[in-house]
Order: sequence, then structure tokens, then C-alpha cells
Amino acid sequence: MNAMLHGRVAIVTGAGRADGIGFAAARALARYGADVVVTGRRPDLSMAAIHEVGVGPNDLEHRAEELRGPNVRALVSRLDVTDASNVADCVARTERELGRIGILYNNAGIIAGAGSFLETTESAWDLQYRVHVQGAAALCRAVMPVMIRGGGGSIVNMSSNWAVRPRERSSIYASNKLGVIGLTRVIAIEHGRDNIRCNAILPGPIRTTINDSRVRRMSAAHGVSEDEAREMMAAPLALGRVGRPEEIAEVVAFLASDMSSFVTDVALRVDGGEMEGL
Amino acid sequence: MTSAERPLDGKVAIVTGATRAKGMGHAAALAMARMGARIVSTGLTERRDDLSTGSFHQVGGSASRLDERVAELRAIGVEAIGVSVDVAKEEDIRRCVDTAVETFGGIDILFNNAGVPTGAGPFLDIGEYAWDIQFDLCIKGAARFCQAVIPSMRERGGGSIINNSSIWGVKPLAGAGAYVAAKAGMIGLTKAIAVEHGPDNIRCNAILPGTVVTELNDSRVAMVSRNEGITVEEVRERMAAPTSLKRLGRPEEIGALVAFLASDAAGFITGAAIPIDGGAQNGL
Repeated sequence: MNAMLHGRVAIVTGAGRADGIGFAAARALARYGADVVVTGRRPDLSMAAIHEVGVGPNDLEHRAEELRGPNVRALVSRLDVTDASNVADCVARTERELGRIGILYNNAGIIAGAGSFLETTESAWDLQYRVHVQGAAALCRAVMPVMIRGGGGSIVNMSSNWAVRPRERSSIYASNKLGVIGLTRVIAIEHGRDNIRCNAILPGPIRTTINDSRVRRMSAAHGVSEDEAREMMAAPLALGRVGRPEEIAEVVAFLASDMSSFVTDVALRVDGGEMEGL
Repeated sequence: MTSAERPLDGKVAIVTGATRAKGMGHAAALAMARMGARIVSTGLTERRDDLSTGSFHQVGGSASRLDERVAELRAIGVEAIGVSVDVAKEEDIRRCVDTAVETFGGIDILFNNAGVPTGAGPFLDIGEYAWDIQFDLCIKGAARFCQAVIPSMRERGGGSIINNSSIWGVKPLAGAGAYVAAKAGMIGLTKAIAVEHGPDNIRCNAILPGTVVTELNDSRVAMVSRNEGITVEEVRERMAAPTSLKRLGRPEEIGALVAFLASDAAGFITGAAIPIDGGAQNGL
């Protein structure tokens, strides 16, 4: 099991944050033997007013350095998933330097534009769609010809349990994360015959920097401590706790590996047992 | 050995319906054994013609068949025992759980896999007996086993239960009304246990297999081939056509998912109903 991804090449988008789900997944893939490309957005694209996205100039290189080992190669790719030439460069360089890409984890995302539905703006709708749906689709379209030439592959797309169990003030995010499931399913149906599997993960609350900022907002909005806010967040879950990035990462590794060779077209909830919604 | 190699080291797993060499139960037992788990394999060891549908499929086996499975597990290098269990009998389940606790000290994993094809046929022909059997073996059998193991899991600080439902628990299938209803019911049972015992750190998930090449499926393929005068290859091709991967599943592929859900790698997955059907274009 520990070498179940040996010889595979994986691209993970949105892997620049040390405590994020993307990097946790990159670490899991590397631990199981895959060569990994960690990608992240340029810091100047960060929308500071909404949420600090993007990674610092040296962050990605630090991440890659942590992954490298005697049997694991790691590359860094500055990648804005909304930029077609970035995407093409990333995929071409990965194939050139690491070889055939067999795993793609579309993790990059943003939470721009949270607010009540009537407050949402055209530009926030546009940006989220470009990142979540078009961005994932762009990576898939660039990587899949490589997978087909190599005899198959596994794509894991990051959706959210908000896609099937929406909350107020999440109209853009919920729409886009449900859109990711639609994309996932059509790719699975069209390309199963090419031995490409495509699945979506629907995480519940996971303790990351982004989640911490949500906790702070909840804490302010409800006049409770951050610990209490986190408890509120965990209360609807059967397990009664928020998840860890590693618990998503292990699912990504499972779906990337041959252990899941008959699993495709699945929207997999990894949410500690929320069980509401579709 | 590192924990990554043997993620189920020290764990004890009970698998029901594990007597067939080419079945999901035994495949799951093998997968978990390879990850280091100690296994209690169970199954019906007497033939039960009353549970079969005509000549379609023989239900139940023999004690020697269960012994063969246990020998295959021991050959991997883990401890394994076989216990003859009819999941319709509470005393069988009690005896099995007591034996597991006495032999291995407790229970961490339960794969409720036992099932029967009883009651296949047009809806209007499904008799009281077939409804009773499907509910008694499938839903109540799984529920009884869960009730019997949860106290031990709780004592050990948690556990993982995997219920073998079916993709036909969420999508329509003609000619199997009682089976479909029972498999859908298993998903409800799964979620009820997940929500009640999440606080005990017991996870409970359902898997929803599509068509998998098992002994049971071989019987179905042979029956269709006879009835329609086409080759078994043609029957299998027809069964694979609706899947995205254009093939049927292998028992090992089901076994791998069970082993994953049994392990801490799936620590944040509970109450889920997970299709494993090669992508058969299901609804959400």
C-alpha cells in the first residue's frame, strides 16, 4: 500500500498553503510514491478585500522541498487556473520533466463573493465560475489527452458538501460546487471507455486557514468565542468534530490509486456525517 | 512494517457471507487481512434451498467451504477463524461475537455482506415469504449484527461498520422489488447508526456495488443465457454496456473499498452511501 502510487505523476492545484487541503493531498500522494507538481496562484491575484488567496513567492518552493525524497520528485508550477496559457505550460512542463500524468486533483478554489443573494455581484459570479468550473475543466482538457495516450488516469475534483446541502449566503459557491459535480459526471461518462475515472469529493468543515477565517466570522456574527463557533460548526456532524486536511488527503490518494479502480462518477461526501440534502 | 503498509494492524474484523471463493465477502476479508487485520469469517454453512429462487442460485454452503476460506486468510499470515452464522438467528450472532471477543479481545470492523437473491421475479409475484426473507436477512440481519458489535467497538474507542447495499438500492431495477426495497432500507439503517453512534467514534457507511463478477452473478448470467439463448459473454457485455468503464467489477475492487472504509484513512467519512459500479449513470 505504501508504494501504491509509485511511478505515477500527479498535478495538484491550489497546493501552496502549508495547512491547506491541497498540500495535504500532495503530501499523501508523495507518501504513496507519486511524483507531484504543486501549483498555486500568483500573489498579485489575491483579492485581499474578500479573502487572502494566493501564495507568497517562496511558498510553493518550500512545499515542493518538503515533498522531495529519494523516490519522490516534486515540481513547482505557478498556475492561475483561469489563465489558459498557464494551464498549457504547466501540463507541458510536467509531462516533459516528470513524464506521463496519471493523476489530477483539481483543488484550487476561492470563496469570493459570499453574501446574501441580492448582494452578489456579476464580477464575483464570474470569478468563481472561472476558477471552480472553467478552471477545473481547463486542467482536465489539458491533462486528459496525456492520460488517454498513457492508457488512463484518475481525476479528483473538489466539490463541497455545500453543493448538496446549501446554506444561506452561499449562492455563488453552492452553484459552482454543484457545477463541479456536473463536470465530474460528464467526464466520467464520456471517458470511462478511455479508462479515465473522474470523481468529486464533497468535504464538510475542515480545519484550514480558510476555515479559521469562517470561524472568526461566525464568532463575530454570533458573539461567541472561536472555540464555541467551531463547536457550532461541528454540531450537525455525526462525528461531532471538524475534519483534518489529512482526512481529505487520504481520500484523494485512495481515489487516485488502483484501490478505487471500479469507482467513477461518484460524488463522495467526506463530511463527518452531515447526511442532509441530496 | 510501517502503519502505511498495514493500516489495519491490530484490528479485528467480522465479515458476514464470506464463504464463497469468488464473492465480495471473502474479497473484503482478504483485502483487510493484507492490511494486517485479524479476521472472523462467517457464513451459512448449511444449504438452504428454501432461500433460493427456483434453480437460479443455491444459498448456503458447507462447513468445509468456510474452512477453505479461513485457510486462505491464514496463508496471508494473519490470524483468522471461521464461525458458522445464519444472520437470521440472534443466537448465532451472539455466539459469533462472543467467540470473536474471546479469541481476539474485541471487534473494530464489521462488514455486513450477507444477502440473498430470494424473491426475484415480477412485482405481483413477490410473496409474503420473499418479503420476510429479504427484510429478515438483509436489513434485520445487518441491524442485529450492528447491535451485537457496537458495545465492543464503543469499549475500544470506536469502530467502522460497512453495509453492503447495492446500486439498485438507489436506482430502479425491474424484477427484484423485495431485494431493491431491502437494499434501500440498508442505506437508511446505515445513516441511523452513523448519526446515533458518531459520538462513540463509530463510523457507518454503505457501499453500493453495481454488477460484479461473483458466483451469484455467474448464476444470473447462466440463467439469462439459458433463457434467452445467447452466450454468457453476450450477457456480460450487455450488463457492462450501461457502465462508463464498459466492464463489470471484480470482487477485489469491492474488497479494496471495504478495506479503505475500515481504515483510519476514511476517518471523516460516515453516513455515506458510496456507489462502486464503474459509473452506471446514477442520479445523485
